[in-house]
Amino acid sequence: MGLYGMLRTSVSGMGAQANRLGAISDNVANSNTPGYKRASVEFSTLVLQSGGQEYVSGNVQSDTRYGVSQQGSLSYTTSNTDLAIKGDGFFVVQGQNGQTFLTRAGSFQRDGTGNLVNAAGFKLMGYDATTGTSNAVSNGTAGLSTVNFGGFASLQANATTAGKMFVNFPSSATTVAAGDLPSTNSATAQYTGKSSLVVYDNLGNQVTLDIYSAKSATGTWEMSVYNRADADPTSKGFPYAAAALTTQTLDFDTAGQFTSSSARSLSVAVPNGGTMTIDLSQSTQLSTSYTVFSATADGNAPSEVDRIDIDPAGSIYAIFKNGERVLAYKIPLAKVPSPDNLTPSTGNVYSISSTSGDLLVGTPNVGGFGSLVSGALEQSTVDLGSELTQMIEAQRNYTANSKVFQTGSELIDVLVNLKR
Amino acid sequence: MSLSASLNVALSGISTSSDQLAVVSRNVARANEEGATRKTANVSTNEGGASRVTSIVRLANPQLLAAVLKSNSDAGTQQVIANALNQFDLTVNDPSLQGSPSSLIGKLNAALQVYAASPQDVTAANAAVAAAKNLAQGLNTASLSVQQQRSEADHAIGASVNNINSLLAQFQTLNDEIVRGNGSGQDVTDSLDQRDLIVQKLSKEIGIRTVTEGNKSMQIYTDQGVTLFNGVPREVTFNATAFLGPNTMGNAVYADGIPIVGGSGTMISTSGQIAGYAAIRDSLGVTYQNQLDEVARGLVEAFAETDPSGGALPPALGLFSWDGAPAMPTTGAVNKGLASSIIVNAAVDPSRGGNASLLRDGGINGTNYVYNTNNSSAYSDRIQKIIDNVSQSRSFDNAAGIANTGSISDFAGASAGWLQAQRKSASESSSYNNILQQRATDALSKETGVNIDEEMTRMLQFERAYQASARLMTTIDQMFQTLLDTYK
Repeated sequence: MGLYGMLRTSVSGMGAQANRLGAISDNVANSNTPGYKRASVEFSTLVLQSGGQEYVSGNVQSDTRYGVSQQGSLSYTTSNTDLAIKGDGFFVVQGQNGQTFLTRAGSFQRDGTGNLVNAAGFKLMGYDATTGTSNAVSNGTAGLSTVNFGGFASLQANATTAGKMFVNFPSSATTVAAGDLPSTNSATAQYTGKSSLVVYDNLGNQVTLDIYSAKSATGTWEMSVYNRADADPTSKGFPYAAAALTTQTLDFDTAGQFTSSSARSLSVAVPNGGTMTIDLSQSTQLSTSYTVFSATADGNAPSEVDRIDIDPAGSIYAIFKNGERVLAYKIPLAKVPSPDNLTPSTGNVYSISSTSGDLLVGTPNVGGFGSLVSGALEQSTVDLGSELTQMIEAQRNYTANSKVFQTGSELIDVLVNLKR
Repeated sequence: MSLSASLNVALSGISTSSDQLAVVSRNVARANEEGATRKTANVSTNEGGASRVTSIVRLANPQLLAAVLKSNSDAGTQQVIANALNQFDLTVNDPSLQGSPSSLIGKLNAALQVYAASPQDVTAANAAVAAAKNLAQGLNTASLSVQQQRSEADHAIGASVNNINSLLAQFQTLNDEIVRGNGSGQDVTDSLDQRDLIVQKLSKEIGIRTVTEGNKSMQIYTDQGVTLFNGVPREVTFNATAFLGPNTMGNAVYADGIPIVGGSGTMISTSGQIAGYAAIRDSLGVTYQNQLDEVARGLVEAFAETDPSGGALPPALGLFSWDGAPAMPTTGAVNKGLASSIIVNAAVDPSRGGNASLLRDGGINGTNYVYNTNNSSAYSDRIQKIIDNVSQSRSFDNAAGIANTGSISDFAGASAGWLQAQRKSASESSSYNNILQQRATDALSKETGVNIDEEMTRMLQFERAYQASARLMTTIDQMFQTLLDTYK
C-alpha cells in the first residue's frame, strides 16, 4: 500500500502546486487589470486512516481564495467617469443579460446610448435622482436602474423657485411721497434704486424682474417687483402694462438691521412659472450708496448636458452648457459581510454566494461604506515581486513532488524486477 | 512596501513633477502677457504615498483688482474731459490767432474808438464793420466748435455703449465657461484671467463694481448699483444724435431699463469715459455754449437801436442781427444758439450792399431810428453811445455759470478764465488719476503677476524631483531584473 500511496500523494502534491501556479499566472496576467483582486491557493491536508504501524500517506487539498476585500492602490486618470472606491463596497453593475453583479472595476465610459459602461461591458447602476431615492431598499438592488444620460433631455429646463438679493438701502436717501412710490405704477413713480433678476418660467423662458426699492419713510423701504416685459416702451419703465407682481414693505431699526417683525423676503409669482422666494435676510440700511452685494436666482433655460461630475458621496451631477449643476443620479455602494467569499465571474465582477452573506446597499461615505474617487482607478492588488518569488517556490515544490513520484516509480520497478 | 506599489509611487512622482513643470512653462510663456497671473499646482498625497496635482490655482487679489477698476474709471473720465477742454481751448482761445471772443471784442472796441474820433472817415466805418464781422464769425466758429465737440462726445458715447455691449457678451462666454468648468473641477484659471481683463476694459468705459459668487460666477454693477451683468448681460441702449445743435440735448444711455448716463435719475454713473463724454455733452459744453450765447446777446443788445427821440419805439436790431430777426433776442436769459447765428446786419455790411455809415447815423430799422437827423458828417454821438453801451455793466443769465454782472468784455474775459480754470483742474485731476491708475495696475501686477526668477527656481526644483523619481524607477527596475535573473 505504501508505495502506491506515495505515488498518489505526490501526484496530489503536484496537482496542488499546479493549481497554485495557475493562480500565479492569472495574477501576473492581470497585474494591470483595474479592480482585479489577487487569487491565492491555500493548502490543507487530507489524512487517510492509518492503522497500527503502517503509515498511509494522505493527500494535499488546495483551496482557491480571492483577496476581494483587499484595497488596491489608486492611480489617477484624466477621465472623470473613471471611478475608484476608497474603502469597503462595490459598484452595482448590470451585465449583458440584465443580471446584476458587484465590481470594483470602475473604468466607466459613456457609450452611444448614454450608459456608463466599464471596460468589461458592465453598465453602472444608480438611483435616478429625478424620481428620488424613496424606493431604495438597503438589502437588495430594487429601485436601481442603469445610469443613463441619453434620456436626460427632459430635465433641461427648470423653473425658478428661489433667489436671493442682499442689498444695502442708503439710509440718507430722499423719502419718496406715497403717491409716487413704485407700487403705484404711475408714470411719475420715483425710486432710490433698481436692480433686475433674470428668472426662468416653466418653459425655460427668461423673465426679467425689475425690482424697485424706494424709501417710503425713515427706516421703511418698499420693494416692488414688475415684469420687464410689461415696461412702457418709451420710458423703458413706468407705467407698466400690468400691476406689480408683488410689493413688500421692509422695516429697519436704528442700527440699520431688520426689525424683528420686518419681512425678510419677497414672494413673487413668476408669470407662467412657479412662485419664487427672494431671500433678503442679509440686507441692511446703512449710510452708503445703493449697493447690491449679491443677487442670484436658480432655474435654467433649456440647455444641453455638457459634462458630468461625480462627487465622493456618489452623486452624479449633469453640468449643463449654461453652467447649471443638476443632480441626476445617486450611485450606491453594495457590500456583503464576507467579500472574500464572493463568486468571481468574467469581467472582474462578483456575485453573491452562499458563504458571502447577504447584500447590503448604502450610500458612499456613510456607515462603513467607502467613498468614491472620480478620475481614478483602483489598481490590481497583484504585486509582481511576490508573485515571482511564489512562482519559484511553487516550481521547486512541484519538482520535489515529482522526485517523490519518480522515487516511488523506481521502487516499484525494483519490486517488479525481484522476479526474473 | 511591495515593489509594484513603489513603482506606482515613483510613477506618480514623475507625473506630478511634469504637471508642475507644465504649470511653470505656462507661467513663463505668459510672463509678459497683460493680465496673466501666476498659476501654481496644488499637490496632495494619497494613501499609499502617491502624489498628484489636485488643482491649479492662480494668484488673485480682488481688493487690488477693485482698486484698479476704480482708478481705470476715474482716469478715463478725467482724461476725456481734459482732452475735450483742451480742444475747446485750442479752437476758441488760440492765442496766436487772437481769435477769442474777448480779444475780438477788444478789436471791435478799438475800431469804434477810431471811428468815433473821425466819423466822416468811410475807411474807419468799414474797419469797424469788418471788426464786427470778425467778432460775429469768431462767435459762430466758437459755437460751432462747441457743438462739434458735443456731437463728437455723443458719438463717443455711442461707441462706448457698443463697446460695453460687446465686452458684456464676451464676458458672458467666459463667465459661463468658468461656472461650468468650476462645477466639474476643471482648470479655469486662464478663463479667470481673461475675464478679469475684460472687466478692466469695461471699467475704462464705465465705473463698475463686481461681486463674485461661490460658484465663481461674477456679477457686474455700475458704480451706482445698476445691474449690467447677472447671469446674462443687461442690454445697454443709446440712440445717437447725428448732430447736436445748441438747442438739442442728446439722449440718455439706458441699461436695465433705467438711465445710467446722460439723463436724469437716481442712478446716474459718474465715472468712466462714458461719464466724461456725458459731462462734455450735457454740462461743460452746454455751459460754455451758454456763455457764448450770452456774449452774443450782450453784443446784440449793446448795438441795438432805440428810439432816438426817447419815445416809445421798441429797441430794434442794430449792427448785429441773428436768425430770429427782426425780433430782439429775449432779454435777461440765454438765447440758445444766438452765438451760432449772430451776423452783421446786411444793411450795414458794404459787402452785402449795405451802408457802413448807418453805424454812425442810425436808421438801420427805418427813418424813425435815425439819430443823425441833420446828416452831419461829423456826428459821433451815436458811436459814442455804442461804446458806452459796450463798456456798460449789464446782467447775464446765471445758466452761464460765471459772474452774472459786468461789461460784455468782462464777461467774455470771465468766460475765457472759466474755460482755463476748468481745463487746468481737469488736466491736473487727469494726470493725478493717471498716476493712481498706474500705481494700482503696478501693484496688481506685482502681487499677482509672473516673476521669471521665481519660476526658474521652481523649474530647477521640479527637475530635481523628476530626476529623483526617475532614479527610483531605475532602482525598482533593477530589483525586478535581479528577481527575474534567478531563472537561469
